[in-house]
Amino acid sequence: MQWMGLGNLWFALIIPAIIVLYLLKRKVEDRVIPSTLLWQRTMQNWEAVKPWERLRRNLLLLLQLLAACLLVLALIRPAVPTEGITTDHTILVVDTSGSMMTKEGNETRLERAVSQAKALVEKLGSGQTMTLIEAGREPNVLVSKSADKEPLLQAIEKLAPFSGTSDQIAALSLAGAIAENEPGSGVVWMGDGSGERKLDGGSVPAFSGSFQFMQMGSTRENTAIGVFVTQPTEKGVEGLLRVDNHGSMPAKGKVTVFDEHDKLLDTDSFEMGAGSSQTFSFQKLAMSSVYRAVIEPEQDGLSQDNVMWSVPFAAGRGKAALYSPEGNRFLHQVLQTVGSLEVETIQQAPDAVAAARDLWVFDGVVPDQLPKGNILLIAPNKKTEWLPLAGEKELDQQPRPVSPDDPLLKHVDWRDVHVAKGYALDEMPGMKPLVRAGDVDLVRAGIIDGRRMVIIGFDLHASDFPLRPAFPIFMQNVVNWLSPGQTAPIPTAHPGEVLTIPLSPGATTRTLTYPNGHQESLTEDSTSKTMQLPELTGLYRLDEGVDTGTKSTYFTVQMNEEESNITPKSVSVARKNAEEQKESEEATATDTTGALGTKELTYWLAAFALLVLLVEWRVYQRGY
Amino acid sequence: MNQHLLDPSWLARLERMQMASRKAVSGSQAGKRRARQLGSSMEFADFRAYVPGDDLRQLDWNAYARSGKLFLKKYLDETELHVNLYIDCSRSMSYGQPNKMARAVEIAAALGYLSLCHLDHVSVYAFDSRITAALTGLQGKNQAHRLLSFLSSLQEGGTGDVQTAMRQPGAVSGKAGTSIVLSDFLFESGYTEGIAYLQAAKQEVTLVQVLSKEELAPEYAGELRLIDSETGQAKEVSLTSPLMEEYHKSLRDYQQELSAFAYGRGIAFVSVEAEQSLESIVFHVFRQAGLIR
Repeated sequence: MQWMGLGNLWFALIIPAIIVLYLLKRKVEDRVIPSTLLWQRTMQNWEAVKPWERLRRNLLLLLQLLAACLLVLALIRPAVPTEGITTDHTILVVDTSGSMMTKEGNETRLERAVSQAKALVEKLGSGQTMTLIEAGREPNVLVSKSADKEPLLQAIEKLAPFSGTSDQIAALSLAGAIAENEPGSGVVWMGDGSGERKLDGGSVPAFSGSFQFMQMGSTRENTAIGVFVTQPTEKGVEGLLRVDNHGSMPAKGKVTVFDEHDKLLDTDSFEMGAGSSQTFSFQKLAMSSVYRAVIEPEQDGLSQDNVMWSVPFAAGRGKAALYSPEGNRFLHQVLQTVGSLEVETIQQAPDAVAAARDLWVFDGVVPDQLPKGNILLIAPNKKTEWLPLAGEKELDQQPRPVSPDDPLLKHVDWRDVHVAKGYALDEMPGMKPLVRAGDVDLVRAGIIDGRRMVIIGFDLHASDFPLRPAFPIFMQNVVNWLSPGQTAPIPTAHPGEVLTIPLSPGATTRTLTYPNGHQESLTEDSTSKTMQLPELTGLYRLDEGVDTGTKSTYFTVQMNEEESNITPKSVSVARKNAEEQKESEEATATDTTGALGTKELTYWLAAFALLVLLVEWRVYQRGY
Repeated sequence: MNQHLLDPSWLARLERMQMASRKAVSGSQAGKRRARQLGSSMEFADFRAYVPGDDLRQLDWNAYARSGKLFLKKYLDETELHVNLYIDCSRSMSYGQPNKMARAVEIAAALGYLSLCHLDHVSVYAFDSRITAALTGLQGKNQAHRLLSFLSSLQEGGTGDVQTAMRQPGAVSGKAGTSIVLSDFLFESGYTEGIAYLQAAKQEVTLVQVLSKEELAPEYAGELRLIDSETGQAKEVSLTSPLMEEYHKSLRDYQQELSAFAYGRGIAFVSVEAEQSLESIVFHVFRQAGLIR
């Protein structure tokens, strides 16, 4: 119950006013009668037998007070929550984030939301329309302003949870924008509010119209694997596992580690208090290319976060080839020092089908055709098909970083560097200048033909660059960037994210196997593939056919850790008052001014007051 | 004769009626009332055989002449009745249209007149909390004008109290008889002891409650302060219809109490409405109640 017009409460003053008037009006008429004997006896009986009957003496007053109370109540406009929708146009936003997969009783939160949403649709009256938005990673309008129940029900039926985190702000902004354009709109949000990206004040534009949050969750008991990492050591593989209890009650259960063939490797049990974490360390795990940890908690809301894979992290060494016909001591030395590369010095230019390398370094030569792999090109003195060389230029200006924020130029100090002459290059699509002297680009970096490439546009011998502290730092940055993923494991990703998968150069076939067994051939002929991950958690495998056989790379896609905290929270938005645009008030879950929820009782109360007045008139007429 | 007290048209009818009473006495003066015991009146009762010691004057000589046997002819005795009329003259009796007092006086006049016609002794007492006026020892129809002029002179007075009034010296005649109390019986201090006192003085008591319509069915409304005409006591009431019902119930209860008291002590009780006509009171109510015949 809430009051829509509490400001009218001062009308309640009418009640004391009536009483005062009644007291003033009450005049006692003197009347002499033969004997009061009978009246005394009457009053004695009256007062003794029926004390409450005294109230009847003022039946009229009571009726007047009742009528006044009802009218005052009507004026402050009480409203009660109702089942149906009251707004003309309802924007129904359904959260489908990972935490909605939480099982509550026999159904998941999303299933509950679906059934409630269907119930809302069934209750749509004539003339009422509904827009259905799925608050996924990106808000998605499934049905737009439809009065037809069938497509709405079908769309609701198709709602499926995704393992990621929904973008609440975007969904609210979208819903708010639609509400703003459609007068008489109300937003209904169905979700649990947990795990979602926090709404910080002001980021969501306030909108007029009602907002109703329907909480779908109630439990907060969930145990999840927070971290699972494995690392090969000399004695075998070590695993580190952290189990988090997000709930409010102690949790206990069993934790098990399997290898890639589902062979049980180790097991342990956990028991921990509310809101705490427990760390396990597994020693000497048998060798496997991937490990799987499973927890079996006794009570658990969300089962999707009870499994985690880990790919052992081994700092592998990339392969680099240095082709420097004239020899370059500085370069040779620095390549040995920076990064973790096996540097092979080759004596002749590689042909097109030459063995793949993670990194090619060309010093003073320009290959006619680009080999497979990333390329560092120093002193490009020859014009080729892909290299628009303009000519050699004397330089009289200091090198100056064009974009100092670039990761390649991090910590690199160009102030003491002097370059005598450089090779001017024409515009190259995909390459951007990093360092410039006059109008000559000294360093360019970018992607050409699917490869990463850095061009140092001067001969190192024609400068004092190798003698400066900047040189090893710059080379470290360059090598790191040019051999990014090939030697490091692919980091754990979240569903729906954009992930850059490094590819082995020179692989003949590439097949990506999804956790559900679906296989996809990659036709990219580059050093990396950038892809948007599907909404599918689990272990992904990339099989590449290289000259040494098949190389398998694993990476895991896991649910956002935030989603494991399934504690229901309320979603609140700043609201714009329809009358006073500047004044915004807070609407929370308990606020039932929403699209559902409010049925004003004013008319009923007024009608009842009228009825009381009629009764009062009748009573007055009959002279009670 | 005061014409306004009794309508001459039905005086003749009244003369044919007589008081029913068990308390007739054989007095020095022969009344007109037929006694139950045998006596010396002209009314023939029975024959019986002579036994020695009987009054020879009562022998039926004619029968002796014809049969030679001695028969005694028996006559009923003639007795006289003392009728005492008590009229409540308290202030509460001055209500009603006509007022209760006037009606009570008329009833007393009617009863007194018919008693005088039967040569009964008639005494009239007016009382409130004491005997305010009395006229005693009337007998014979020729005294009727005294009775009526006395009754016409009665004035309503102070607070009624039958208890103290009856105990006053001279309030009760020494002779057995019949006493009729005409009152509204709305006495603050009650009535039981006063009536019992009267009964103890060998009186056959009859209570006639005279109530006005104002008391039987009040037509008041609104917020009232009811003031007692005698005591000046005030009672604030706001009259509602349930309260009215409660009043009627109280009234019924009070009358039932009164009649139960009367019944318990062998007293006749009659309730009349002041607004009723005198004729219907006397010829219907009293006759039905067996007060007169």
